[in-house]
Amino acid sequence: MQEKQPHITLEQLKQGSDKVLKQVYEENRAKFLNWARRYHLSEEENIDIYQDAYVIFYDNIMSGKVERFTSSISTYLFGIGKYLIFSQMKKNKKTIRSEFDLALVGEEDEVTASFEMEEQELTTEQSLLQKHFGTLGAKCQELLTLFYYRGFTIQEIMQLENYNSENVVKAAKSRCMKTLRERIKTNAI
Amino acid sequence: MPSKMDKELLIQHYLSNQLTDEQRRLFNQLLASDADFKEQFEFEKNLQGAIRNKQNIDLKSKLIGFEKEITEDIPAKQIRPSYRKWAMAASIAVMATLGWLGYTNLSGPNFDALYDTNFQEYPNTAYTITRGDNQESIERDAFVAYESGNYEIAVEKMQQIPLSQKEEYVDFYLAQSHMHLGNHARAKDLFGKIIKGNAKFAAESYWYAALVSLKEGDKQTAIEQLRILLDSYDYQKEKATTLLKELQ
Repeated sequence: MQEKQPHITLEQLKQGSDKVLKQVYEENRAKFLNWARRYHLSEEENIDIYQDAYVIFYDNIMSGKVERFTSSISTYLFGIGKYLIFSQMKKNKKTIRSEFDLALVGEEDEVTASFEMEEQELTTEQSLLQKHFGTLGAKCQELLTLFYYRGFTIQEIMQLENYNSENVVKAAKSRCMKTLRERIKTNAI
Repeated sequence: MPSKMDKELLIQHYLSNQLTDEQRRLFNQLLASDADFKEQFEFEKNLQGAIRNKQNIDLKSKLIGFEKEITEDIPAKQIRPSYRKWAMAASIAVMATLGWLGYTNLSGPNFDALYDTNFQEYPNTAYTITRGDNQESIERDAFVAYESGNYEIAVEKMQQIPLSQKEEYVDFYLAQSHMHLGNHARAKDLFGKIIKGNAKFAAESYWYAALVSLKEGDKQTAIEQLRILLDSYDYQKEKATTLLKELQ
């Protein structure tokens, strides 16, 4: 028997260490794939869907849609997985049998009801920003990621990255944003 | 008129879903009346979307990597009914007896050759060493040493991990390190412990325990261990079948 790993908290997952991400991936994988097999998609499609469900789940956590876990992680993954499986079945033009109908609402649908299930396509501006963001120094990328993705406040960044004061963080952030704007401008000309 | 700082805070709160009703009212007002505010907000919102998209792409590649590790390094184990656990414990007792008998059957250096052909270090799939990770821990040091081939340090560090923090997989990697250092008796004890507890890496432990038996010239025990491995697990199926044939 495998020893049960300690329970993963929302905070641990938000910190996003590879160890925790992998633990969650491994712990829910077999359960998810066994459940997904009833829809008769290929194993490759099921694995791809499991990974996409994981990415969507994580994205919704990071954008503040999940403030605390009201169900187990697998319930969230099943809710998203169900949506993705039906989308895939429609793409494959497979008939959805009545017992698997989308109208059947379970706990997994309720906990993911407010989730964004589709990844938004990047706009032209966003693609340009992403391209130039990648050319910034590692420090800038990290600072902006902490601020805009992880939702850290200036004070939290100061403590985490050992800056001397909040003003130093603000100044660094302004410089990064200025560089980014300048690079986009140069590119646009 | 809100100050520059207030405006920055409004945008920040919007982006992190934290606007109060009052702030939302002010935010919407500014969006309609202040062109600079609107431009700054659009820029930051787009930047957030771009970073979010990049993070999602990075996460997906990470998951593909985890999947690859699972399918390549750790072949799926067969699902076993629980009585197997007891059957295996009984087998260990039989193995110990047969092992002693088999030990009398010591023979030539071809066992060494078989060992060398089959022994391949088990990669670290248990503990993730994150690049740039500042977290210092004995376990991290141990696995850094293991991955770098410094098995003496790996053994030293693994033995220092406090029992309360010791993960199930540590004994397996400790046994691996002992194998590298030629401490086969220590490795054998550890594999026996893992098998007895039917812990993580039990299948792998049968395989490596069989190799240790080979190294010790204990053919009969090696055969028994390979048979259990083939009967109960999928791990190293082909290699174990070939090796068993060579020994019989």
